[in-house]
Amino acid sequence: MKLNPTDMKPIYVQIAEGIEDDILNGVLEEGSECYSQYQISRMFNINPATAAKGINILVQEGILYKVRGLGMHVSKGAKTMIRRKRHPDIAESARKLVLDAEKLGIGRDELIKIIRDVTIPEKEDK
Amino acid sequence: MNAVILQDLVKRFGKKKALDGISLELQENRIVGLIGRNGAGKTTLLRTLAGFLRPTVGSVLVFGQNPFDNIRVLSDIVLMDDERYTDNSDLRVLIDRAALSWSQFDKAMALKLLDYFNIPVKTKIKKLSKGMKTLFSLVIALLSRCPLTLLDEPTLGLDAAHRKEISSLLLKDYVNYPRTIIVSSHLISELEGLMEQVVLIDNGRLVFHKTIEDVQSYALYLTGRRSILEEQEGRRRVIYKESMGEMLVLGVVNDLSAEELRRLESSGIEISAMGVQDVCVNMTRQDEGGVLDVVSK
Amino acid sequence: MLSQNSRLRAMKSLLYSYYTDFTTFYCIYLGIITGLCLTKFIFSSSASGSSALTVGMVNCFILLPIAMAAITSNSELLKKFSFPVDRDLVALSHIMLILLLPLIMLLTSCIFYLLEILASELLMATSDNFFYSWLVTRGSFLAGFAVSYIVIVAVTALSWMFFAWFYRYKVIVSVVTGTFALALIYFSEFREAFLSLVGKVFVNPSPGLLSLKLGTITLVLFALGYIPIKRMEVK
Repeated sequence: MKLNPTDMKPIYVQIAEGIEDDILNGVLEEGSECYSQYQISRMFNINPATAAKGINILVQEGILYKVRGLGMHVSKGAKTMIRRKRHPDIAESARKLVLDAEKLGIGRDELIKIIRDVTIPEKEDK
Repeated sequence: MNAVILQDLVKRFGKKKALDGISLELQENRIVGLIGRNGAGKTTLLRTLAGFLRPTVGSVLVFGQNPFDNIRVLSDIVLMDDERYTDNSDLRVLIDRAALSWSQFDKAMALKLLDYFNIPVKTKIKKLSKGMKTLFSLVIALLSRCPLTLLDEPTLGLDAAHRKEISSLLLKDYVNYPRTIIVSSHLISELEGLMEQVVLIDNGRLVFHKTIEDVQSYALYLTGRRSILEEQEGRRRVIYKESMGEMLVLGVVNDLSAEELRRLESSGIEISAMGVQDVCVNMTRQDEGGVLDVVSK
Repeated sequence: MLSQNSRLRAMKSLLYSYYTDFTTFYCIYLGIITGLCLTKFIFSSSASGSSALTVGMVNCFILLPIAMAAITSNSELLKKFSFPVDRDLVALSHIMLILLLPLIMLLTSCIFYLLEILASELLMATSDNFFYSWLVTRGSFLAGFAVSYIVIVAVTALSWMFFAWFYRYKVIVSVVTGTFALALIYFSEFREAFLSLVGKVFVNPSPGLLSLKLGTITLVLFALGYIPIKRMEVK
């Protein structure tokens, strides 16, 4: 999770997305405890109210839930929820990629070939 | 409850209006950034809140009471600025005085922090460097834990490392002892994350009072070809404009829909957020041109 | 609530601050009086009456107005206002200082006087070349002490009142005092009228009556000095 103050997105949205990323990566497991607003606040030196806003977005979406006295936990099925929610984002990223490619005079076919050739090192298993 | 209520506050020094009709309500237990250029009236505003100055017109209420010469509410207010704690005596004496003044003052913590910052308590404040002075008065003001804590330029003369530490310290103490903190600054980047709300003032007037998120998304930079952007210029509220040959950078107030943004992006315009610091600078620009025009003439 | 004892706390804190300020001030006073007494003792083979008392008294007349100029200045008040205080507390602590400082200073010079007598007695016993004349009796000493105290308090209160107004309204006060001083110098009628007024108060009263008159004047001065302090802004 990291924050970028000059990003178009407000800090609390970035926090929500950062937590989502950590859930997708498996840093935060389903059913386990999530960061508290104070942990996030201390980690990034931001107002705890801002951190709480980010967490609350995820609570409303059902990705996190509150356990009385124990703080926020990651819901079962959170990964699927996030994947479904973020699916349109890929289209947006692709659009940006196409725009960038056009700037460089790279056609769609060539771009697709580049995408196919991208290699990602094998994920290490925990 | 509101910690601070200002109504049409005017403060005149001779003929000069330092504050020119400010109305504002600040809720309790928030960190508020008071932003403005040098001479915008930040210090005057804070000193009026601290009961040092009497409003020329209008009213000031702190926790529902007028702070001027009112010891009840004054003992709940602390103001830190570079003119505080300038006594001739040792730092030790000032710490003792703080402990006498505020029942909740955390003397043990104050001594620990001063030790950590390498500020010896057996010196006189005059012997300290600018940054050390700032650290010292910040420690006193923070550990007084006053329900209204006013910090005027709390990073003055501090190096980058200390600035970072100060903002963590501030946050930590705020989380443990929630209270209303007003931080004034003209340089806000390192304090930006702390703030929940921003009050921007210019020439003694209120420009806006917004949540930090609203300020972050308040304006955009559009960068691209002049031919495309000039058409935008007429339709938007432009707060910044800079050009280089055929390229134009426009800073516009963000009232664009997602669709409009996408269309602009497709036509080759780069869009970026203006950021809190730039929004504040651009909203309080003196006039067209700027310092480079003066220099080049 | 937190603010229940706020006034008491503020007073304690303010007095503590003035206490630390005036230990420095007192050290200066001690230094001067010691120096003057010693030089006098060393360089003149005869001590007349009350050199320590005179030195102490003159010292009070010089140092106390300077101290009053200091404590009423904006920069000094700014320091006091770094912690919660109100203007009533400031005026009250100033009045306490005006009443206490002369007492402490006079008592100090009396202690010096005793030392001086002791030293003189010693010298008289050992040297033939030394004369010491007793002018002070117990009765005259006590009356002298009381009157000196009241006079010094009145003078200190006057300077306090003057500076309290001066720092707040520099131009007006300068013009008024300037005009007054010039009038005293150049208009003999005005001068005589003023002097006769002063004379009416001070000429030939008994020590008791003089004290009473001076005490009343001091109270009036306190009231006059309180006005600008109560209204002032801290800048």
